[in-house]
Amino acid sequence: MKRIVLLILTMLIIVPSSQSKIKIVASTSDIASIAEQIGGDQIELFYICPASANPHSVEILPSYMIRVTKADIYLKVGMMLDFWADPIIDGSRNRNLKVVDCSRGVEPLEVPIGKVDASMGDIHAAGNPHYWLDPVNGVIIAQNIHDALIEIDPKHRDKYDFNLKLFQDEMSDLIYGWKQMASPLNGLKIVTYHNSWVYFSDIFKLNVVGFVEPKPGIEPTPSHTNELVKLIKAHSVLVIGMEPYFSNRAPNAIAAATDAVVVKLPPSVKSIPEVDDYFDLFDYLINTLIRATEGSK
Amino acid sequence: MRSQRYMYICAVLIWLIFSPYVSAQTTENPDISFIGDVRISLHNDRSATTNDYGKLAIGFHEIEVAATGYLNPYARADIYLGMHGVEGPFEVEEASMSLLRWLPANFQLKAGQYLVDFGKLNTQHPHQWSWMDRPLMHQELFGDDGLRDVGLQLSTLIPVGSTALTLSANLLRNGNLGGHHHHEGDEHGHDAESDEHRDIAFSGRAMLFSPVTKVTSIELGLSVFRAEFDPAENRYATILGTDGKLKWKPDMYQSVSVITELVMNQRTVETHDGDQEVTSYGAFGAVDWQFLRQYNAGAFYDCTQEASDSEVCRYGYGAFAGFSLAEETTRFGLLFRHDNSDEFDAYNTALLQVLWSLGPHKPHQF
Repeated sequence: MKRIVLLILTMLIIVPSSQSKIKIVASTSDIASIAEQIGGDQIELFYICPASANPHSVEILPSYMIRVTKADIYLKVGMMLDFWADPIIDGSRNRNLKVVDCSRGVEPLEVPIGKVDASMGDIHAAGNPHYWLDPVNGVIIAQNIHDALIEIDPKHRDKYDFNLKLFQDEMSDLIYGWKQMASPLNGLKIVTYHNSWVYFSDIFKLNVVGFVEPKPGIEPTPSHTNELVKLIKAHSVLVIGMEPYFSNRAPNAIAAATDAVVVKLPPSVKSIPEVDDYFDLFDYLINTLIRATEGSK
Repeated sequence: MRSQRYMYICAVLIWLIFSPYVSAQTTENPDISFIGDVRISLHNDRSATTNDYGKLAIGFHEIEVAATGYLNPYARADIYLGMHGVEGPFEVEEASMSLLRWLPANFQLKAGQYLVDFGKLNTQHPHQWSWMDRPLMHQELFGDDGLRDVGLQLSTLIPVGSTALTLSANLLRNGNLGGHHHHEGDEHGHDAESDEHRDIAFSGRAMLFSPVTKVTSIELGLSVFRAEFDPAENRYATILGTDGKLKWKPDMYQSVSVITELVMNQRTVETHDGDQEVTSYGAFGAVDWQFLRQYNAGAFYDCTQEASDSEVCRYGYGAFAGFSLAEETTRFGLLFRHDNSDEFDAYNTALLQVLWSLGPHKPHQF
C-alpha cells in the first residue's frame, strides 16, 4: 500500500514538471533552433514551415492551429516573411499567447525607398526578411527569445540568462571563425535563385550580381535567363546558388550555357540532413561555397 | 460671460481627459483589395434567357471589393462587396466581425452577414475554384450565391492528438431558403423584404482535419441546416451534408486535391395529392492537379435533384485548366462544361476566365 501511495506521489511530482515546460511554436526551423539554445530543457518546441519548404508560402492548416492553441509563445520571423502566421495565430483562438517578432532590433537591409507595388515582384516593405542568414542577427533573435521567456517564465530566469550568455559567447567565437573560414570567398561573384542571401553576402563579403528569378517571387523567364547568361559570362561568375526547394531546371540550363556550377545552398536549419542546428548552417554554407569555387569548371 | 468661461474650461478638461484615448485609436486603413473576373463564353443552350446562343459573349462576371483588418487585438472585420456585371449595384456579399482570441475555451464568435460553413465549398468565393461556379446543389437549395445569411456563429477548435476538430453553430435570419435568387431581380427566394416572417434558421458543422503524412492531409465534415421555408404552412426543411477533401502537396510545384460533397434535403411539400415528404440529393466532386508552379488541370462532376421534386434531376460535368502568370495576381482559366436536365435539352459551355487581383486579398490559387 505504501508503495502504491509512493508511486502515485512520484507520478504527481513528475507529471506537473513535464507539463510545466514552456510550449513554443516558431514560424521556421531557424528561429526554433535558436530558441532551443536559449530555452534548453525548459521548453517544448514546434515549428510550422517545413524545413525543406519555401517560407514565403505556407498553407494555413488547422493542424498548425491546434499546435498554437496549446502554446505559450509564438515566434514570428517578421518583416512580412511569415504573413501566414497571423491567420494561424488567429485560428488558434489562444488568448494567452505571447507573440514575439524576432526581427525586433535587427537592422534591415534593402528597405525599399518610395512606392512599393507588385510590379517590383514580391518586395517586402520592411526590408529583405532573410536576416537570420547573418549570424550576428542570430544573437539578436536569441535576445528577443530570451526576453519573452523571462516574461512568461520568470522563475527560470537564471537558466535563460545563462543560456543566452553561453550562446552569445559561442556565437562571438564562431562568427570570428566563420569570417576567417570565408576569407577565400571575399568578393566572390555569385548568382542566386532568389534574393535570400543579402545578409549572408553582407557579412561574408560575397558579391551577388544577379538572380535566376527576374524579380523576387517571379518564375524564371527565357528572356531573363538569356540576359543572365550574358551577365554571368561578363562577370565570370563561378557559382549559381539555389535554395533546395526551387526547381533546378533554370539554374541547370544557365550553368550549361556558362562556366558556372549550380550549388544547393540550404537557407534553413534541417532543410538538408547535414544541417541540424543554427551553427551547422553557416559551417555548411561556407564549406559548400569554398568547395564550389575550388571545383568549378 | 462666466458661464461661457466655464464651458471653455469644461471643454478643455474633457479634451485633456479623452485626448489620449482619441489619439490611441488606430489610424491604419484596412487592407483593401479588388478582384476582377472577366469571362468569354460560348454555349448552345437554347433555353438561356440571354440572346447569345452560339455566339461568343464577353462579360464582367464579377468584381469583388474586399476590406479586411483588425478592429483591435481581439477582433477583426471582413467586408466583401460584389458587383455582377459593370452596371451594378454592388451588393454586400459578406460583412462580419469576428472575435478571434478573446473568448474562453477556444471559442470564436462571428456576427454579421457571411457565407455559412455548410460543407467545405460554401464558405469559399467562386473565384477560388477552377470549376468557376457554385455547385448545382448549392444553387438549388440556397440560391446562386450559396448559403449566405445574417447571423451569429459560435465555433470552437478542439485538439484531438494531431487532429483538429472544429465545431460550429449558427443562428441565422433565414433569408436564403427557397432556391434560386437571381441578381437581376429577386423573384424567387432571398426574400429579406418579404412580408412573411420566417423563423430563424439553424446550422451546425463538425469538421475533422488530420495530417495523414507530412505531405498529405484529409478533411472530413458533417453539416446540418434546418429552416422554415413556408411560413404560411409552417413547413421546415432539413438539409444534411457531408464533405471530404484529400490533399497531397509534396512541394511548391505540385499538388493534387480531391474534393467531394453530398447533401440530402428533406421537406414536406404541397402537391395535387396533398402533402408529400420529399427527399432529394445533390453531389459534387472535383479533382484538381497542380502539375507545375503556375499550371493546374482537373475535372468535376456536379448534380442535384430539385428541392421540392426529387423526380427532376440536373447534372453537369466538365474539365478545366488554369495558368497563373505571376503568383496569384493574374490567372487564366479554361473550362468546358456539359449540362443536362430532365427539364431542358443538354447543352455545352466553353469559358475563358481572366481573373486578376489587386491588393492583399488573393484568389487563393496556391
